[in-house]
Amino acid sequence: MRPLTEEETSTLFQKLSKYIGENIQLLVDRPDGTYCFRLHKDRVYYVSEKILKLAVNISRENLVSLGTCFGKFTKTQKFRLHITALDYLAPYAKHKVWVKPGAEQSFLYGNHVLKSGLGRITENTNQYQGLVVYSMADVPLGFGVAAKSTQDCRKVDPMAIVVFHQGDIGEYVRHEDTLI
Amino acid sequence: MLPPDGRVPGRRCPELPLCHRKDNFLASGRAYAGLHVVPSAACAGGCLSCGSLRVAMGVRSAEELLAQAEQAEAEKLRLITVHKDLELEFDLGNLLATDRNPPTGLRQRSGPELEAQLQGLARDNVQLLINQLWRLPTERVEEAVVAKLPEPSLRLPREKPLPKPRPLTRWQQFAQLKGIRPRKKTSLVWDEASKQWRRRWGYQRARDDTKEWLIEVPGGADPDEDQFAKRQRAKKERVAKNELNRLRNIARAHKVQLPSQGGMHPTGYQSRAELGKAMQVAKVSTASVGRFQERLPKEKPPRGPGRKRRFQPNVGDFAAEKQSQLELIRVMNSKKPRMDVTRATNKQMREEDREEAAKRKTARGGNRKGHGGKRKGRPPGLGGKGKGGPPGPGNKRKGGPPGVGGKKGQRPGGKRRK
Repeated sequence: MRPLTEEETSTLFQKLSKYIGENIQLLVDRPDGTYCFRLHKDRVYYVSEKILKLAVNISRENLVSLGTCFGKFTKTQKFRLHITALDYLAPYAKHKVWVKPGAEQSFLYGNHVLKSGLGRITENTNQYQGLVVYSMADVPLGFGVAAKSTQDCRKVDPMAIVVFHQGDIGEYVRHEDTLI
Repeated sequence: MLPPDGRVPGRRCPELPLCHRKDNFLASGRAYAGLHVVPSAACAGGCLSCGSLRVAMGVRSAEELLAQAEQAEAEKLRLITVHKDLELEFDLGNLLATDRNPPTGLRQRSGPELEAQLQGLARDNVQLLINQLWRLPTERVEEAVVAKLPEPSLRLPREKPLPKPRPLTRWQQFAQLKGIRPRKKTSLVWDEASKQWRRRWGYQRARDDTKEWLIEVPGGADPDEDQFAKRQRAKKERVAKNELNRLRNIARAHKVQLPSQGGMHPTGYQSRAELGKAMQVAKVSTASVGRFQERLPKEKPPRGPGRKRRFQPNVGDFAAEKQSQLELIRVMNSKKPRMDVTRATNKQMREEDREEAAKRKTARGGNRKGHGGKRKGRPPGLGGKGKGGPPGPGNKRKGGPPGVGGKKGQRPGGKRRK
């Protein structure tokens, strides 16, 4: 377990800012406690200082996970965001997408969101902007990347993909062994 | 009834002063078997109490006593005298007694009797040795009487093998080659400063470098350099060099392979790693320590020694970490362009479309007056961004007006449109 280096921190923050913009500072600088990012076996964990001090006493091979896993660094040092970060992305998300009830199931199985399943979308969404996907009842379902900007969404045909799937809460069941 | 030993408890013999034994009755009344010897003839018959008793026991005469004493002496002597056909040879320096008598006394070849016979033999020989030891001159050392042993006469063989001759050190080889003989130096040197004879090196030596309070800066040296520190460093280097040479000599003596030359001698059968190491060392073994060495086109620069990566401590200063992260975020945000060029161009294009649509409308409106508001082409509802209105004259610029530009300006309040 170690803190992130400068490059790793910047990679992580760039990825997160795609989804939550400048609200990252609310993650870094919290009023209710000191939280920090730690790297353990290539995974980034967001953990409070109290838990960290306890986890320091566990040896490397015995420590499985601590705090919340935000994602992992791949072998080529790219950061891949996991669904376990959704709890922290959803409240601070800049751009959101609401999905119709019919298409919810499809999204939760790992498919992309088509125009026909699109309920609402935040105004001024660029293309390839990071999005958080909600159901119509405002339950966060996962996150994705906008395939089209908001304007273009209006113009495309119903079978076109509007949101690329990146992570959904169905992964808790599908990928439970790789997820922590 | 008389007690069997003939003594009457509580009654003393009236011949007491003439009796040999003073303590002639025991308080416990134990049998005092026959040792109440009565030497005096006067007592022999005259004592009423003991006389009568003695008669009952039997008279012990003086002769018998003497004989007994003599017997005891002989006994003691017998114990310490041992008769041997051939005298033993003694090497008292080694506490050694050599018995050359043939062992005819040993009857048995094996068994418990042999054990007893051997023990008797050993006892005798040891007795003779001790007798000899008692004859040595003694001295007294701290309440103990100690005998002074003479020099040992028997030469014992070597315990360990002879030491091998050591290989000569480098200096010794050189000196042998050149014929340099060691010059004897005087142990004391005249010290001018203190006007006395001082030793050549060591405590309070004659010319002590370290005690100088003033060192002149030599002509070509940097004036800001610390000469004292320079002297200290030079000394350290000399000491280190000496130590290195000493260890090298030892290694050569023990034929241990010196670590610096491990793998550098080309054998023709070196592994890839060894060759790589040899190449690295060869690169650095230049006058510029490898700085101007050329590399092959795709060869990577060599990794220097030392730690490769260093991380911050795990449970370090949280506040500092937070600060650095916030700084990183700030820099990241500042690097993003405040105005998104694509959005600005899109907006610009939309405005232009709207203008054209408005122009067409007025043109068409002029042609067909009765026609309703239905338009072909792009309806204004889709294009509108909420600002509406005809654009001002300054809007034709490519970048768009600065007041309108920027993400924040274009989001009037989170209005969502389908």
